[in-house]
Amino acid sequence: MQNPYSDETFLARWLNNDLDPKEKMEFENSEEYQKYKVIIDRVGMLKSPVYDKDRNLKKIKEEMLNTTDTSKVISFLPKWTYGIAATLLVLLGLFFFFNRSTVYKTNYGEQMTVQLLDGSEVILNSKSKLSYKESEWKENRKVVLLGEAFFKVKKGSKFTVISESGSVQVLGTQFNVNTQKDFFEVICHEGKVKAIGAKDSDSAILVKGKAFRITNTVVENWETETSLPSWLSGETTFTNTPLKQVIQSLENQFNISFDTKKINLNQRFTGSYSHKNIEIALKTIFVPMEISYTFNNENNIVLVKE
Amino acid sequence: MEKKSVCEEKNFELIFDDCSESLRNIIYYKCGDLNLAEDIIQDAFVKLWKNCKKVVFYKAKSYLFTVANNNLLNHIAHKKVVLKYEQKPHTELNDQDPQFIIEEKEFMAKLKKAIDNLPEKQRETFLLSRIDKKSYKEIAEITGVSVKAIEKRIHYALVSLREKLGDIL
Repeated sequence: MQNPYSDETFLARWLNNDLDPKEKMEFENSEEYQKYKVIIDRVGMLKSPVYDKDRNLKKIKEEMLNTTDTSKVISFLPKWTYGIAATLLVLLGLFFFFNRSTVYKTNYGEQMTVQLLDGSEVILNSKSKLSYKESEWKENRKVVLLGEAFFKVKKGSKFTVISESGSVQVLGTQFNVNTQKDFFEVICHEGKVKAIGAKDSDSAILVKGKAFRITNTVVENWETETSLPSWLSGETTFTNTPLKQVIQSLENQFNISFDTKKINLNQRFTGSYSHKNIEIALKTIFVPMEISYTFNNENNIVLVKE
Repeated sequence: MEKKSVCEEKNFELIFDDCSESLRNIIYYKCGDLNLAEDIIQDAFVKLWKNCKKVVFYKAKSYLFTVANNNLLNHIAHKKVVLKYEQKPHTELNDQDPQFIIEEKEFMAKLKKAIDNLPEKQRETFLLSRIDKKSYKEIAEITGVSVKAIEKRIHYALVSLREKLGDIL
């Protein structure tokens, strides 16, 4: 097709009123202009067929619903909730990661020496458990004890031993803690410790050689001469200790159980037994107490008052 | 650039309001089949909805056009197009003599035929501009070509019409 004009957009620019004044004047004075004007005027009388927007939208929405049912999964929860859930999970994970406890446990007849982060030393007696939180250690030297342990605490900030039946606070010293159900015993071997029972009023400040005990809420204080707990050297020593605790100690040491229905557990025992031999240990304790012991089976012993 | 999601129904309807009619018309100007044109744009909008995550809001128009255009190519083996229009009443004609009215009608018929015979792209561009009153920029946006290309199409469409109607003008 021939193009009678200077460029290929001339008429488009004319329609858009984009011609410069000179071009425009020349064009409007031409014969051609009249013809184009007629065409444009007549085209201007044409309209596209009626468009029913609502009908079309309705049809599209019906289709959209069908698609939604088959291939588009509508989330039960808005998307951002997944983000929050994931974040919480991570935070929870971090919380438990940083908040987890370090735990040491001994089994029947075992002992274990544990070095804490500050160089303090803990020796766990049999069937005992010690735990602490590494994350809080710097601010707070705090350990949780179940059972019996001997502590050699390095000097520093307050050091606390927490148990079910009481707690001990020290600055730096050596002491023994024995904590069982309804029994809490602290013996100070060096320095100065503060023992606190379940009730704050049941507390005592102990210096070297002093001992403190709560048995079924009854507080006792006494003195001891040993510089170290005897159980560290393979012997367990009792000073006027209720039989219940003595039997508990035997059970922990030798992995045995006692039938104690026929004896009085509140009797007191003073003395010690060796960890080496169960027969000798039983004899050492029960003969003086006038209690007979018979093996029911390998691990169960029946005690009867003679 | 706005970050509207096409997946939100209100945005989707915004797009529909904005361009569904001109899209229907483009397809109609191309194929001359009104029902087919409406089917095709409906399909295009449904496809946009299915792919709403992949389509950026401001690209939606040209996406719809591309989809509709491809769809149209699947449908027709280029039948001869005969467009029908709603015609505005010709106010000047009312009091004219019957001879003039007849001549005018003949002219309109020839004009329509000349438009039908324009190449498809010139036809759709010319009519979008003259009937739908779309600016060159808008047409360029929808069809995905440059404004310059649109101007050329308009120019040549008009030259062509002038040539075909030359003897009766």
